[in-house]
Amino acid sequence: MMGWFGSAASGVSESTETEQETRTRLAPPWNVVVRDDPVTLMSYVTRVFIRVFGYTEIKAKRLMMEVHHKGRAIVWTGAREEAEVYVQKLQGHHLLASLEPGQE
Amino acid sequence: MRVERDDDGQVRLRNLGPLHVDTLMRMPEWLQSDDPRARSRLFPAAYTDADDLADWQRYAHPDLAHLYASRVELISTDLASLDADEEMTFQMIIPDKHGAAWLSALNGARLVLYSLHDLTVEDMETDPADLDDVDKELVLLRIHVMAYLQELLIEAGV
Repeated sequence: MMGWFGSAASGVSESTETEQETRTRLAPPWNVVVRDDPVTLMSYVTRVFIRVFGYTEIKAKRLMMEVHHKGRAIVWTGAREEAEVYVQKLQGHHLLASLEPGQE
Repeated sequence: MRVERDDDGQVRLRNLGPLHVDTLMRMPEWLQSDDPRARSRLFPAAYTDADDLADWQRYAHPDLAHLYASRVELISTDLASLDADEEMTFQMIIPDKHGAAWLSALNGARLVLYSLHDLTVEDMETDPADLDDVDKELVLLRIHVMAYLQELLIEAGV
């Protein structure tokens, strides 16, 4: 509390820095994660990544192989609202998609 | 089973045998299953946090349910075009703009069957003919038939 009052009294720059810091803390990145399942075809997963994210076939295949071999892959990272839209689209194609907090 | 692509983009499935037709005709029923095992696979958890998950279920699930219902309606319309072809098998047409919905519906139906019959990774890697359980053999055959059709559609550029 002292910091806020102090900033307001002593000048604009400190206040702006504090606000920027606060905004950054409020919006950490989120990961879109896809997990492997034993039913869904690899070619279909690749196709869904291309369709949903607009990835190149090479990138889509690389991510698909990561899902297949490691059991999961982070396929996108960014703002939470956008991540939720992607997860909903991926789930709409029946992929095991979920969100997890990313690294700040 | 054969897939042909017309110049105008529509896909014609040809030489569909009895198991192919029976499997395709049952897809709407499977996709609308109320069984909790099927529901949990079609509506997987998006969050591990309970509050976030509850919000997700409240806001995202109605949209997903609407999408799935639209998809069932769409494939049911196309299934109505099933007709005998000249070789005494069956054929049907998938309009170009329905292709993506068919791919996802086939995936959903395969996942539902897998869930409803409590299949395992080992089952998926087993030749259905090697199974002693006739019911499981038929389910696996249906799952593989739908996978084959998915592959043919993807190869055809759907």
